[in-house]
Amino acid sequence: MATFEPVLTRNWNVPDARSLKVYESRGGYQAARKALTTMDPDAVVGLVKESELRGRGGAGFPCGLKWTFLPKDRTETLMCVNGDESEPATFNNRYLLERDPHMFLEGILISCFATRASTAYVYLRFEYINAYKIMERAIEEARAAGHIGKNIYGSGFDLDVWLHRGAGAYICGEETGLIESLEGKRGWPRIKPPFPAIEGAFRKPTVVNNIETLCCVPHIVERGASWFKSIGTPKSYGPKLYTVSGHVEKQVCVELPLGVSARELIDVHGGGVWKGRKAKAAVPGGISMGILSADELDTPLDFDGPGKVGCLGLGTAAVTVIDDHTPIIDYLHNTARFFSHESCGQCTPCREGTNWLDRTIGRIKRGGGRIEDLDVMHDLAKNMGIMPGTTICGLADGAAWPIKNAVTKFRGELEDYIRSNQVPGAGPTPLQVDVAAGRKVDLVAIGNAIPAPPPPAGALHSPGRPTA
Amino acid sequence: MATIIINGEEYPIPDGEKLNAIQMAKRVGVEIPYYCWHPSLSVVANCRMCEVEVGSKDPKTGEVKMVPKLVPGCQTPAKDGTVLVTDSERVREHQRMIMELLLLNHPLDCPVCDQAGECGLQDYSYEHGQANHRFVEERIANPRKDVSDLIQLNSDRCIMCTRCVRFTREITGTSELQVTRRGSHAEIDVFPGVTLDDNPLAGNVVDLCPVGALLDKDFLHKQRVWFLSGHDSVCTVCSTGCNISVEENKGRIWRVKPRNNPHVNDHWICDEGRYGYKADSAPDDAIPGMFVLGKDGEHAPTAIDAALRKVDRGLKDAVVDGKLVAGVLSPFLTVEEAYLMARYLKEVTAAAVLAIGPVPTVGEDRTFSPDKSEGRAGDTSFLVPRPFTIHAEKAPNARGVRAVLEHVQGSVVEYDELLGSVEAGEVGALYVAGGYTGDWIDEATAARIREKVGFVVVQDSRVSALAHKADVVLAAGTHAEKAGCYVNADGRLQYAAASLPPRDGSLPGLDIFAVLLDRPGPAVSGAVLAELAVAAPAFAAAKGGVVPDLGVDLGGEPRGGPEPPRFLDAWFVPMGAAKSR
Amino acid sequence: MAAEAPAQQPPRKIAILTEPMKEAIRALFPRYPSKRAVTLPALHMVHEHYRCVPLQAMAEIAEILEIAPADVHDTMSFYGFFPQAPLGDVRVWVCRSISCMLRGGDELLGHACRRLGVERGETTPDGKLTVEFAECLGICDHAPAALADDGRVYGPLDEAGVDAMLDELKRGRKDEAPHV
Repeated sequence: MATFEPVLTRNWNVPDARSLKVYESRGGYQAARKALTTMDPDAVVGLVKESELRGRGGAGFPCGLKWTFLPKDRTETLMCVNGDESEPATFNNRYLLERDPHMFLEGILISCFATRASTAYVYLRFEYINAYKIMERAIEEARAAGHIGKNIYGSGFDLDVWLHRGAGAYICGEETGLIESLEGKRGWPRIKPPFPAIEGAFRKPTVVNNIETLCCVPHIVERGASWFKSIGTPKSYGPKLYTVSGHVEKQVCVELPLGVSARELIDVHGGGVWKGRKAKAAVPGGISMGILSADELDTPLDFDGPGKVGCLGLGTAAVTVIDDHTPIIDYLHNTARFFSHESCGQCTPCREGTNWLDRTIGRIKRGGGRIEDLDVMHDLAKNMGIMPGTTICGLADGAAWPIKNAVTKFRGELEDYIRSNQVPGAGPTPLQVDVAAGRKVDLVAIGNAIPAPPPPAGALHSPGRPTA
Repeated sequence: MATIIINGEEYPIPDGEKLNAIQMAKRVGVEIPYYCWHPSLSVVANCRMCEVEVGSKDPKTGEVKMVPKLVPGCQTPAKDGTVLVTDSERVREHQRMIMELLLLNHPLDCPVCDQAGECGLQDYSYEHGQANHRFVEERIANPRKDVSDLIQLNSDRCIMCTRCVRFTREITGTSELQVTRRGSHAEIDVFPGVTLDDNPLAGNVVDLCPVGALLDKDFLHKQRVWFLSGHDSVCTVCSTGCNISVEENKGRIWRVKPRNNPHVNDHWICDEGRYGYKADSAPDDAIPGMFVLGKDGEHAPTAIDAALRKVDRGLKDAVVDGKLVAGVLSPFLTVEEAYLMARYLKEVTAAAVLAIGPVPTVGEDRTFSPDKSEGRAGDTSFLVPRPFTIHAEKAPNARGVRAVLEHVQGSVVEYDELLGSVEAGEVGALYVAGGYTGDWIDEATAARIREKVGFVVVQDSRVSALAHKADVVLAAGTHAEKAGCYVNADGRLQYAAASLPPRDGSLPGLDIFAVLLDRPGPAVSGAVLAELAVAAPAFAAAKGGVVPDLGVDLGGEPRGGPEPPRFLDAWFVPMGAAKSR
Repeated sequence: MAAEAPAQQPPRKIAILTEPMKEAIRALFPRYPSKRAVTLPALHMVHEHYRCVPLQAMAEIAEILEIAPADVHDTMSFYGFFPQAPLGDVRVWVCRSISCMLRGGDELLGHACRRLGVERGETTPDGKLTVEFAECLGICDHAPAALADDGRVYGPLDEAGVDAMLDELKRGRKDEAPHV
């Protein structure tokens, strides 16, 4: 492989890279100037399409293709930037916001120009307090310098960029949940169709893109589609910010070509598993994606790799390492608790299912598990989410995948845990079990009996009655 | 022609209607279960009960391609070549799962729940559910609370379909209801201090609720729904003419539910109409029988035929005396009653003056215009928003009575005009047919009439100031006790069946006039209407005395083909023994 | 919509939103195609000012945005951020999501609560600190981490680190510069 030249992170170690002056001195806004003054919007769309840039937010949908879904006869387009980075263990967008805000703004500018969007809303999760402050400053600077505003670079293109803060809801990272939230409603994802490109925020055609996706755009404009496609693995091109956290020596965010393996991330970039231990498993890209067992760590982390070993996908490329001292039930308990807390409550399978899973795993962890719980959970998980078609959005898939993966890949350990961790009183009561199974409840046994009436005296000559 | 394939059978798609899979399947007799979907509310697809297998058939090759996953029927348009599979094992498995999930935190308190018997959870559990479930954890028990003085919300029974919330947002535009919190902790609630009390359509949220979460406190624990018999009727509280079902048991009305009519009230009724039955159910001031004023100034109970003979003689005496005979036809009479009454009085004397009774009005018309853009964004293509108006005119048939008078007399005499003639001493005999639900005449006017008119007949269901002074008092049926047609504010003729038998001592108005007219046989509304349709061009649309189920527009185009059936949520469809009621 | 506006407001008390705050809310209208979109920014504004969002403030926001109070409450209650009762001077979130949990986040939250003598989600009696759990704060490079609502980031924490953090936070807010 040719030496990889990082682009997304190129300014991170430059002093004061957040300021417009430094950014411009390092070639900043040149790509935007090139696009706006020398290119046709459709040509930019074509270029991005040609580069096969896939969305970095989790689903990996081709970005250029998404842009072409906008209706040709639209009069107004909106851009929503998804900065609601709430997937556990993911923080690459935060780095982009905090360390190179102008590269992000340049990406917005080019993408809005390409999609003819005159307003861009940057939806930032409220937890990014510092990033919000930095972005506010950067937008002010860019506005003052004419990178945002009316008639940018004399091209006749106008753009407004507004920051919009979330308020602590994971589901607002789903594109239609984000749109609803932007509109001032609860972040309940919408049914599709219509897709946001047709009817999105405020019922106008809307493009929703992830921060990192947009940050790739200036570099594609600057260096061309073939440069972009020279990086990465087939169908997964370009650089990607990987984050490594959990049981590693160094928790870092690194830019690498798509397709590195989890093992390389852990050993080379994360400094190895902490305390000299071994990895038991790793989460490939945010907890929604499932889990890689120790012998699957060589799987290339590109858009297709994790799927081949039973995971949901690349997700946010946030690798979390679990060492061999950690019971897998702890991981399951954490994911179930998270999704139960973050389920929006709209679709029945997710609302009830995540809560059910959380309670069952909680019970197993407390020492009240039963082996059949694993099968119940697995069956439940199999039927939750957009993959089986039972929910509107993918949150339930995210809740299901850790269960599915853990129950298949770590079944032995889970069974052992259940068998060896039995705490009296922690399991379901006999009444619950009887009720659930539809068995007749023995009221006497559960101490809730109303004395049974004496059996009716048989009539002396009732027909068919054996005569003693 | 556009066709759709449902469970392997090919069916034509009706022209000019945008239907989703649920509606289309229902048309051909295939039931797709659902909770959150409602034809007048935006599609949210959150209950996930209506999921089916969906595919499409290539028009050229005939090859069927199925979508690999399940798709909610509510958001699937019935298009040419659409393939639906609603009865596969996969679909049934899914339905079992949804039922299991919905019942996880449900209290299963059917024995004390009013919804039992018309509950979506019960019906679908039986049809699509399973006897046991695998949940052995602690249940979440949400609280019970009141969302208005008349509506109780049992959050523990709620399945979060959000129909009620969407109703207040999309139909009334008042947004009193909301969802609070999220996930399994989400609940329906009102903003503290802002209840549904001021929403005149609030009661509809109870009808919309597929389970026993929202309940009407007026009906709470009064009756089991399977003991009730519903009678197709028309609301008489205002001139909208909402289609209602009057639900009665053992001679008493217990509640009123709306019936869907896209031309009139869509799926709704106002609370005034919903609780308006109380005036008709068992009024304390109902006239208990026929009375004739004796020489002693006391009203003596009299046999029906004797009382009617007295009426006939009294009116004819006035003619002999050379005095005017006048009639007052209240806007609460049915078209048939008005027609027979007018004919009778004109038969007594062609010079009889027929006036329409006072038409009560309260306030101003209030129209709710549903706004699709107020709803959840999403596929709203199936929605046909229909405005709902509560009219200020608080009488059901002013238009019908006027049309009858126009036909019989050539013109309508207004009540005030008639009072003028009374005041001038021109009127020798006055026949007043009431039927009002409230007080319609004050003591002073009644006294003036008594003073000026020699012979006064009052035919009414409730005692009024004039009845106390009348020569003959005839006990006629209340709205609930009579059958007949009303013409609503938009000129739509609709038939209302009787909900209760005539109370002891009374006769429905139509029978009273039939006796006076010496009509042979029982007076049947349809026969009278058929005569009117032949005689009066204004009623030509009611040809043969047959009123279509959804009514007929008297001024409109001749009716086209059969209309789609009325929408009724599956759990309200009577089952078992209740079917025959 | 009905002809008359839904004039249903709870009984009026002393107004919570000051005129400058209302102005600031209205100033955001041009940013969005609908007034309702200002709901979250307005809630944030009220929260920054009062460190809570009381019911009456929601009713007043609803009035400005020309929506029903239930619409604002619906939105507000969906998110985990807005408390109805006032918070301490500093609000600190201790992360409990995967990376932090693996490195002891749950235990550190328990430790912080024990040390302050409060349950999670509660404010210390002196009104200085509110400790809450959070699902991933996006600062996993500091895991196990905590975030104060003035932007200060703490981590990787251990018990001693939590103690030091709490002591520092008790000294008050540091709102000015971004803490990166």
